[in-house]
Amino acid sequence: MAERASQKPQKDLDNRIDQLRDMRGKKPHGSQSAHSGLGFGMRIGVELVAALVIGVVIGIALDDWVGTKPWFMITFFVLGAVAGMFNVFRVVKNHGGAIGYRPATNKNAEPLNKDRTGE
Amino acid sequence: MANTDSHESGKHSPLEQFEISELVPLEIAGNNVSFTNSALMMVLTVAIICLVMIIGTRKRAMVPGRFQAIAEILYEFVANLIRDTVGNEGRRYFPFVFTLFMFILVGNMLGMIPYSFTFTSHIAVTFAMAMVVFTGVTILGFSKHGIRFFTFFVPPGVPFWMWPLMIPIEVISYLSRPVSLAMRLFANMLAGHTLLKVFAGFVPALGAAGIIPLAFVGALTGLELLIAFLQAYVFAILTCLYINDALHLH
Repeated sequence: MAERASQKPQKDLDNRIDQLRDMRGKKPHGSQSAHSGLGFGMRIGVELVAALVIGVVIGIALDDWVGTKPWFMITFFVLGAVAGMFNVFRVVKNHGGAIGYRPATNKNAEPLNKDRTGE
Repeated sequence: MANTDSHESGKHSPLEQFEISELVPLEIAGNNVSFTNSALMMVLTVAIICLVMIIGTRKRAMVPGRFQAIAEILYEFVANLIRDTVGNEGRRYFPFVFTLFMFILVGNMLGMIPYSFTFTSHIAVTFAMAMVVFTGVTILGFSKHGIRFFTFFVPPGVPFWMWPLMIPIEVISYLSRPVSLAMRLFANMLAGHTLLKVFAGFVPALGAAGIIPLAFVGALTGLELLIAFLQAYVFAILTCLYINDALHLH
């Protein structure tokens, strides 16, 4: 493994540094996985409630503004609930904190996968 | 048992520990800006962080001493966190994330000392920090992408007739970030410290059998120490994720 790596041309150095850095970065991460699991669990419950609260607040504010007493609140209550479930879904699917569907660690994950398929 | 200077009734409330007391009453233009016990703990937190970091970086020895090891471990922990979540462009946001992480971590840990005060158990404090993160990240996104920042609210691969439904959901999702960020830290600290006090209250009430809740308090203190670290970590990692979102959109 070490021999093969040393035979690679110099311009590969950046890749190797990145790779080694990934390996180094992975180590402390692995030992923390037990902690992260607990943190992960704590994130989910709050995520669900927070979106619901924001939805209801927006709904009540819109109702006050437009003067359609319960309707915006009801609509945004449902939207907030959906947003909360989406957030939980994304956290569980490891698609970042909330919004968007990109994996949060794409910067790191992609080069790693490329190296694996390349070898 | 804490709260020896409690009310005349002699009953100890587990929520008494969160009471804010004015140490130096001050008033500027009709606003109460007193120096409170909460402010004292924040000043203490900043002083401790500064002290550890200054002592830790003073010698710059090849073989680190105790303080230098602490400073280096903390530095590397946050640096790795940013590199893992944001990548190399995230490095310039290191001071911000590091400050947040240290402030919350040391604040939580100071709160674990008996008779002290946990300023992170007040939603005013946590929400202020969450709003700084939220506005900062939003400004960052706008300055980086301009008007294209709004494409953030349109998830890729969704047909256009779904947009009227998806965009409000995404906007709510985005606006719920500071709320969830603030609520998580505040609720965890509040619940943990209340639970400790409630169990501690059982110890004298049960007499000889009080050894059982005492054992629980011991175990819970350990758990609280873990949570104190964990919440600082979660706050920092979510800040990193939000910075990553603002930098790269999708």
